[in-house]
Amino acid sequence: MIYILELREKLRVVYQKFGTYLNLIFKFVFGLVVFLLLKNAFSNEITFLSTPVVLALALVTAFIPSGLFALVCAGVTIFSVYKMSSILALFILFIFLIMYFLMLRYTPKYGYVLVATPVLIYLGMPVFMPILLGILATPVTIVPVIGGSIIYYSLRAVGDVTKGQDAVNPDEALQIFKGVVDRFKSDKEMILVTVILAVILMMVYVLRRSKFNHSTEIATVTGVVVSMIIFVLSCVGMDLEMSIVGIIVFSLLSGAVAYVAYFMRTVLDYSAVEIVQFEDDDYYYYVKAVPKIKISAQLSEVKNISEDEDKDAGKESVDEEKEAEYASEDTDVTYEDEYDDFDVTIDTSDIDELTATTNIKDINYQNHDE
Amino acid sequence: MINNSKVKLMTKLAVYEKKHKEDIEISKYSKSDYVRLNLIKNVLSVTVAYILVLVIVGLYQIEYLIANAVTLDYKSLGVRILGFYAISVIVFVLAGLLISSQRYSKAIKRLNKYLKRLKILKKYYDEQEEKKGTL
Repeated sequence: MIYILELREKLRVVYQKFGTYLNLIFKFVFGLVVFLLLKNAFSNEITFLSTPVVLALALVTAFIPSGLFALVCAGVTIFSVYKMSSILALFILFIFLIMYFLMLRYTPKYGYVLVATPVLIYLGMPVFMPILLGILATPVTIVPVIGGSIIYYSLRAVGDVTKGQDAVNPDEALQIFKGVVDRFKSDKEMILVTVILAVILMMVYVLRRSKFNHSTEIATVTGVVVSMIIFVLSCVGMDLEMSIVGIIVFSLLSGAVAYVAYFMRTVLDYSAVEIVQFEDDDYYYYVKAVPKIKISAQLSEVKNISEDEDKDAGKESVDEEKEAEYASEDTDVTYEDEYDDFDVTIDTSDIDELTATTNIKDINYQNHDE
Repeated sequence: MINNSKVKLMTKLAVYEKKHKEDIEISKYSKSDYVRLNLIKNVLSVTVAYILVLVIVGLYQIEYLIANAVTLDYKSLGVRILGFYAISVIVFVLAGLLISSQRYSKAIKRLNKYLKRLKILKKYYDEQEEKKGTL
């Protein structure tokens, strides 16, 4: 365990050094995945998303906030659908606007959740977001998850009805539109998946916030097991267009990744390093505030002293100095018998809770008078 | 001469201002004004969303509407449209009231800590002024 904690601290140091660049890389990669999926969703005849355009869009979206990123994704989608049929583009635009006015305007900071939810449903791992957000975030994230799910199924309705046509005949446009609305409003899978995602998110959140020991682990496992059971039962009972093996594998994967993300949450702490500028009467200050790291690289040393070694040492009792050393490092040391192997238990419960206090690392200033 | 304690304090204040800009905006309103403002925004949002839904339904049913334009029972249609609208407004306004009220309370709680630090900073300045006065 201590090695994992050390690894986490090392990762945190790396993240603090290169956090800005790593964030840009993560955002670029995510944007690339989203735009490549959008490119593949439409035929080459109608989409303007050539490879250079995809790269350029991903690059631009790496530098913009999440709300704007969601807006760019919505714009690209609507424009692609517009090339196929203007009335269908209007339908998608209205769905986006309805979602915005009823839900998404309350959660402008969760643009990535809104975009990631349909992407993950498309990739067959819908439960990843609810489990991750249930562990790491607040219940308000239920809003972009529901919005993302509805947007995915509205786009799927368009895809199902147009069946990959490059362009809809204007004479048939109204019929196609009616077909899309029919498909959308009778889509039981949409209602089912949206409700399941919302319920799993709330369930994981409530369990994680409970007062019992290992609540996060229990919440993760329960989230994975419940989502597997519900999705498999739904697949069997309601003929969902999902693979049962895929659901089981991806649910387990989602739980594992979400738990790793939880464990690494201090590494990816959004508020890690702050660079601020201010001034007083005499100076301008350019300050980089770095949260203090409370864990030393080698917190405690686990030593196994065998019976033979003890005998060789003249069957000496426990070395008082060693005991004092362990005690000074705030670890719980227990041993069964004077002549048996030591069972060393390291209590790491306190290590997990780190407090981030601001440490002024760099203060660059210039005299106001100069 | 740089006063380290003052710089630490100013840094904490600057970090707060950077991360919670909206708190300072919210604090310009009283709770009742903030909740009322959000209530108006919610009603407008629900109205726009409802109109968009009506447009989709209207387009979907356009053939039926044109064919039966003369024989349609506009009174009952209007009552149904307004009834659904009223239900939507009530649901979303109640949810909005809850959210805006909680958001205001949380912002003010965070802001109190910020204001305490501002007071300490003011003390620094007062002491500085006093020192200048005695010199």
